[in-house]
Formats: sequence, structure tokens, C-alpha cells
Amino acid sequence: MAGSSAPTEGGFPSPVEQFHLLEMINIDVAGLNLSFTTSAFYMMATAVLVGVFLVQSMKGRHLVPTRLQSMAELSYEFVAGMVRENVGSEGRPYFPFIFSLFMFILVGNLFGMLPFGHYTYTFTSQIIVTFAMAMAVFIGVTVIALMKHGLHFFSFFFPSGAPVYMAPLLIPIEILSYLSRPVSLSVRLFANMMAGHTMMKVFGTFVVLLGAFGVAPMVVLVALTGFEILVAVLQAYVFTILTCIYLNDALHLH
Amino acid sequence: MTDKDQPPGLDDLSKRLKKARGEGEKSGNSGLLSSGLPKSATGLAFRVGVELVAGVMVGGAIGYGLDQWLGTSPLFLIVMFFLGAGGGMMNVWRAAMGQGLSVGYGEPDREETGARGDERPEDRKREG
Repeated sequence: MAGSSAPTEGGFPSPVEQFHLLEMINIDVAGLNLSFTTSAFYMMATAVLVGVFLVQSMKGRHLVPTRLQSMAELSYEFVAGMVRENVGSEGRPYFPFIFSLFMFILVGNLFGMLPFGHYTYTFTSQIIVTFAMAMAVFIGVTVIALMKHGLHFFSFFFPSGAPVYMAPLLIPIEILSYLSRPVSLSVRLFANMMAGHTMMKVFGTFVVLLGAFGVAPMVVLVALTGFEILVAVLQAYVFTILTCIYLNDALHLH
Repeated sequence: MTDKDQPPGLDDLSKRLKKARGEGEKSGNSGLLSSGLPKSATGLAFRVGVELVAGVMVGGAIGYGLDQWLGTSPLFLIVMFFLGAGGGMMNVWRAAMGQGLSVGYGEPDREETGARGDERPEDRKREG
């Protein structure tokens, strides 16, 4: 997100330095910078961790679950319940996607809370990542709606009770409000993660700057850290539930 | 209880299951604000704010793109900006009325009677 050089202010690292991408392996293909960055690393780490966690925890398949199995079952049940409540039984085929999405965002957000300095990167604080995910959801949902309802889908853009002479105004507004979905979906996740992490770094700088009086921002920072973990989980949940709501709209057009 | 009787029994069970589930689905889904999303004021404000900005952003971007393409600057930018703002507000209104962030729900004269948001959950039947 940040520029190419890590900016500093008065000797202290800038709070946005954390969004500076480190290139771990430099790859240059025909002038394109395809370097393997920290963001890519954490995305892969997330995918691997989620995969290993789910496979390992379910290996035993105990009737009385072990702790790990309990965790896996809880997350499964949680997302399954979300899909059932918000989409209904028609949403079942899409459960694997929604579950993967949830786990990916959740673990990615939580990875951002690791205290590894430069080497920690919250890939969900990168708008292109969240936008790509939101676009995948948006395009997928639109295709599902088109496949299920055919051209009837376009009646979606005109509220059936509205007077016909309002159509020239209402249809563009509805289309725009439909098109703004992926933007709001991605900006919500990205802005939450970025704002929270910047805030943490700002308070972290205060602790160092104020010396002995740094205890006060330190207390705030402790609370903020807890709050950030909450936000990390919450935003994964919000992204997933909005995906469910959008899917529901696609499956049950009025 | 012969084998013959079992299929109707199962059918009946599945029907009742479906009914029970259907009720659960209905009560569980009455829009963004009542769909189990946390209802804290800050969270709501943030969600609504993002919604507004996203509408304007998309409208502005599309308008700008159309202008670049058709060379009609700044006609579409202005028009689409306001339409986008309208779309954003519509989304906010829908979120606030508990209709989720859906587009164009087909309730009759939604625009006119929309001020009474408390009757929405019942109106929003699954089977449209």
C-alpha cells in the first residue's frame, strides 16, 4: 500500500510503514514485477494453515471430539448455521466456497496480529486483495442469479410497485447500488483492518515517545490489541454474512 | 408398519423438517441489521458510511469512464455522481429499514410506505 521507501517521522517509523510490502523473492517477468511479497507469503501461509488445521483436526473423527476437532467442528457449524439461516437449503452447494472464504479472511486477519515487525503483513489491509475477493463474490453471485432466473434477473433492478414513469431514474440508481456492492464489501474489510492497524502503531509510537508517561497509551494499546482481534474476527464474519445475503438475493429473486 | 408405509412417513418428516427450517430461515433473515450482524452504533455507522461512499465512488468512476470513452466530459461524471449518491443512499435506507443490502426488493410501493420499517420482516417472505 505504502510507497516504495519506508517513510520515517522524527526517527520513529511511520504508522503506515506496516503496509509497505517487502519483496521476499524478486521475480521479474517481461517487465512485470511478479515478486513474491510478504502479502503473498501470508496468503499462502493462511491457506496452508487452514488446510493443515482442518485436515489434521478431523483425522481422528472421534465421537467425542478432541480440542482441535472441536475447533474445526465449531467453525464448520458456525458457517453452516450462517448459510442455513441466511440463504436456506438452496445455499448448501455454495457452503464450501463460503466456508473457505470465511476461514481465509479470518486467519488472514489474525495473522496480521502477529508481532513480527516488518515481517507481519495483513493482506486484508490491501484493497486489491479484498476487492478481488469481493469481485469474485459479486461476479459469482450475479452469474448464479442469471443462471437461475435467466432474463428475469433484470427485473431485479426495478421495484415492482414503483410507478413506471419513475423507471428512467430508478433503474440507473438500482444498477449503481447493485454495482456498489463489491466496492462497499471490499472497502469495509480493508478500511477496518487498515484503520485498526494504523491506530495500533500510532499508540505504539506514543508509548515510546512519552517515556515514563507511556504507561497511559500502553493501557490503551492493550485494550486496542484486544479490540483489533475482535475486529479481525468480526470483519471476517461481516464479509461472510454479506456474501450469504448477496447469495440469498441471487437465489431468491423477488 | 410395512415397508410400504415408510416412504410417506419419510415424506411427512421431510415436509415437517422443511417447514421448521423454513420458519427458521424466515426469522433468521430480515435484512442486514437483523440478520445476526452485530448492532453496535459504531458498527452501524461505519457500515452505513461505507455504503454511502461506495455508491458515490462507483457512480463517479463509471461516469468518468463513460466520459473518457465518449468524450462527453463532464456530463456523465456529474450525472452518474448523483445517481451513485442516490444508489448509496438507497442502500443505506435499505440497511436502516432492515431489508439487507439487496437491490430492488419487489415489495409493492416500497418507496411510498417505506417509512414504517417495523412491518418489513413480515413482508419479506421467502417465496416471492
